[in-house]
Amino acid sequence: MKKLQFIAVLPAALSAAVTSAGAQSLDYSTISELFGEPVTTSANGSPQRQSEVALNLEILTAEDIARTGARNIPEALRHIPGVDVRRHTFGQYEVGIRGYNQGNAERILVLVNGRQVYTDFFGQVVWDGIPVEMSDIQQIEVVKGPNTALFGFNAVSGVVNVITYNPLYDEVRTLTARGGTQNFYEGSGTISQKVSENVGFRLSLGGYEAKDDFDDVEDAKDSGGLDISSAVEDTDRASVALDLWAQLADNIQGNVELTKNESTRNERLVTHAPSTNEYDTYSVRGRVLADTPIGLIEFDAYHNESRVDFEIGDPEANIPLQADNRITVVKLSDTFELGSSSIFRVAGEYRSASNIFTSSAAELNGDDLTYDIWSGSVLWDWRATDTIRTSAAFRYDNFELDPDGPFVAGFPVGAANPFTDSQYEDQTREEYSYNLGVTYAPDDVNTFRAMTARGADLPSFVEFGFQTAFLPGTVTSNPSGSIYGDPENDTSIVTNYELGYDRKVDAINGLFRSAIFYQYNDEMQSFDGFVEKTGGPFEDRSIITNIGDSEMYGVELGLDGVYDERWNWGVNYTFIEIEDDFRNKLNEAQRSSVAAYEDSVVNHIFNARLGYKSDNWTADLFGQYRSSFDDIVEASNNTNSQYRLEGVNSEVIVSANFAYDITDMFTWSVSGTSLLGDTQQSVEYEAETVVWTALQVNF
Amino acid sequence: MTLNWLPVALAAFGCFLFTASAHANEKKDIETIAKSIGFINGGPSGSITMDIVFDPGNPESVAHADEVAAITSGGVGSKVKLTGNKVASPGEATSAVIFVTRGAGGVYAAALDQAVANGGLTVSNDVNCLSGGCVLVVQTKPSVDIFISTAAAGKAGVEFASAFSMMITKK
Repeated sequence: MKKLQFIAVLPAALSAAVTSAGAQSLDYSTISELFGEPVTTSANGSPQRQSEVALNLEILTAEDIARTGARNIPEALRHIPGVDVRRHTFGQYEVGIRGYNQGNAERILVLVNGRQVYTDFFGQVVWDGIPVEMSDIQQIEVVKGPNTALFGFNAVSGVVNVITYNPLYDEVRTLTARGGTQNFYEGSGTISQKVSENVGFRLSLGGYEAKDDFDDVEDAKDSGGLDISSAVEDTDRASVALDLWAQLADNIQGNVELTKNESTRNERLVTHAPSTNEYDTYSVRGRVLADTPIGLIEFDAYHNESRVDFEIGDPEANIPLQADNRITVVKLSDTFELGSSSIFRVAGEYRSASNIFTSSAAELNGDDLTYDIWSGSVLWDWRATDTIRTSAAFRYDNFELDPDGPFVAGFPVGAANPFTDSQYEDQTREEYSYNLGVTYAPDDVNTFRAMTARGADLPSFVEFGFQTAFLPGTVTSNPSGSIYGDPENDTSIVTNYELGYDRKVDAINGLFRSAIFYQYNDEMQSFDGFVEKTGGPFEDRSIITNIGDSEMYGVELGLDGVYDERWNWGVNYTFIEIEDDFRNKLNEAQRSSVAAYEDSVVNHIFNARLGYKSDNWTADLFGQYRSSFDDIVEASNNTNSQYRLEGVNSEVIVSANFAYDITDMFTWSVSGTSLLGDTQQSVEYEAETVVWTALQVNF
Repeated sequence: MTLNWLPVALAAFGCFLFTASAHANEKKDIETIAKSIGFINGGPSGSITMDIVFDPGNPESVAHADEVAAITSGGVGSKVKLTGNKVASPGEATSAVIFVTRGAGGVYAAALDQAVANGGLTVSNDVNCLSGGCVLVVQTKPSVDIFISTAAAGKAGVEFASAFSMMITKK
C-alpha cells in the first residue's frame, strides 16, 4: 500500500474560555432527535426539517448507511431514487443525478460539510479522494436538480453534501478492519470527542488496497483496440482528516480542518481512454460561526490543492501528464430572521483557482490558467401561512479567466492551435441563477411541492483551455491528434421544473414520495465537440466546445415502510428520458462528440430493499434493476466519427449486508455487491462481484 | 365455555394501551420542552425544578398536573433535566420554568408574570396557552411542532439560538 507521506500534526491547545456551548453550528443529532426526522442546511442554507424543504431532498442517516454495509459513498447512494451509480473499476465510480451520467460526470457538486471536494480542473468527483471514512459520516444529503443559486457552479444535476460528526456534539470512537475478494483489505478509524468543555476534535484515518481482477482481457479492453490489461495497477487509498472545533465564546465557534488524501485507481477518462491515475490532494480550512443580534454569521475560508498523475493509454507508450490544481474560497454569510415568518440569508463569495497541465513528454505543452469569481447571493425563506412555505434564492457570479503565459508558443509544430493568446484574455462571464420553491402541507399527511430553478454550468479549466497532442498509437488507435479547450465556450444554462407529492401512509408506517420533472440544458459542453482533419503530424484536431441543447424529463416514485419495528422495506422507481439536439450528431451510430446522453441514460431503475433488525443483529438485502442502454465508445481509425455506440444489457445488481453485535464493543459484518455475478455498468469494464467482511470496534 | 369476560378484558386492555400511549406522549412532550429550553441563549441548564401550575377548581387541570408531576418526579431530560413540583397558583412558583396545565386558562397571564419575575419562562403542551401566556408550547403528535409566542418571549426576554429559532413556529 502506498504509504502516507505525511503526518497529521495536532495543533497546540486551542485557547478557549467560557461557558456552555451554544449552537452556532447545527447539532444534527440533537435537533434530528428533537424533531423526529433528519434536518438539513443543504436545502437553502438555513436549518430545516427534511419534510419542510422546498426541494427534492433525500437524507441518508448514519444508520441508513450502516445498514447498506457500503464501503464507500457511491455504494451508499446507489438505492436513492434518481441516482445512477456506475462502478467501472474497484476505485472508479460515476454518480449521476437524473441522467447525464457519462464519462467523468461533472454535473454534481460534492461537498464535505460545505467544502467542495470535486476536482476543480474538470469538475468530476474522485470518490476515493474524499477525505472521509464511512464511520465519520453523520448523514449524507442529496439535493436533486440544479442548485447553483445556493452552492455555485457544478451544482447542475444536484448536490451531495456529506455531513461528518461534530466533536462538540458527537462522541464517536471506532476502528474498522475490512477484508475481502479482489485482495481487498482496509483499515479505518474515527475519533470524535471533546478534550475539554469547549474544545473537541475529530480525527479520521483510513486506507485500503485492492486489485482489479478482470476475468479476461476483454473486460479491460477499450474499444479503440488498446489492451490495457497489463496496465492495471493496484488500487489504493490513504486518507487523514483532522477537524478541530472550539467554543470560543458563548456565541462564537471556531473550526480548523486539515485533510490529506492519496489514491490510485484504474479508470476510463472522459474520452473513454483507459488510464491509471494517482490523485494527491490536501486541504486547509478555517471557519468562524457567530450567533449575533444581526443573525448567524459564518466566515468560511479554505484552500484545496490536488495533483493528478495520469498514465493514459498503452502502458508502453503512455502519456505522462500531470494536472496541478489549486483553489481558494472565501465566503461570508449572514442568516437571520425578519419578523416571525421570514428567514433571509445574504452571502458573498470569492474564489480563485489555477490549473496547469504539464508533461515530461516533448509532444505536450503546459498551459497555465487561473480564474477569479465574485459572487453574491440572497435567500428568502417565507412561512406564508401555517400550511404554505416558500423559498427563493438568487445568485450572481462574475467570472474572469486569466491565462498565465503564452499558449501557442512552444506547442508542437503542426498541431495548429486554432486559438490565439488574445482569445484567452478578457474572457469574462456574468451569470445569474435562482431556485424557487413552494411547499403546501394542508395536514400532517400530505405535502405538495412545486419548484423551478435556473442553474449555470460554467466551463471547467479543461473546457476553457486544455491543450494536448498525442502521437500515433498512444491514447487511441487513431493515428494522432490534438485537443483544445475553447476559451470562448459559453456557460451551459440548466432550467428545471418540478412537482412533488409526499404522503404519509400510517397503515404501513411509511411514506410515499413522488416527483415529476422537466429539465432543459442550453448549450452543453463536450469533449470532442468539434473534430476536423488538419493534416500534419497531429491530424485530428478536436475542440472541447458547446455542442447544443438537451432536454430531460422523468418521474420518481418511492414507497417505504416499517413493520413491527423490526422489518423495514422500500421500493422506488425512476424513469428518465433524454432528447439531445446536438449539432455534430452524425447519425444514430456515429458521432464526433463524446456526449450521447439520450443513448447513455438508463431509462428505468427499480430499487427494492428489505431489512430486519433483531436485538443484536441486522440483515439487509438490496436489489436494483437497470434497463439496457447504449454506452459510447471510441471508434477505430475513423476521423469523421470518433465515437460509436455499443449496447450494455440490462442488469440486476444485488447487494447484502449482515451485521452481528458480538458485544457492545465489537460488531462483525459480512457484505457484498454484484452478488449474482459480475455486472456490466459501462461498456468497457465489468463490475466484479465483491464480498468483504468487517470487524468494527467501538471504544 | 363462555367468553363473557372477553369484552371486559379487551376494554381494559384498550384502556391500558390508551393510557400508556397518552402517558408516553406526555413524557415525550416534556422531553421536547427540556431539549428546547437547552437552546435558550444564556438559559438554564442542569437539573432544575419545573413548577406545575394548575387550577384546583378544574378537574382536567388537576389531572394534568398529577400526570406531569408523576412523569417528572425522577427528572426528565439530560442537558436540561426538569423535575416537577405542583403549585396551586402562579404566586407559589419560584422556579425559572413554569409549566401551565390544560384547563388553567384563568392563570395564563399570572403564570407569565411570575415566570418573568423569576427570570424564566412559561411552558406547556396545551396550544391554548400559546395565545394566553406561554412562551413555549410543544406538540409531539402526530408530528413534532414547537411554537413560540413572540409576545410572551419578548416579555420574558427569552431568545433562542438562531439555528433552533429558524426551525420553530412563531405566533
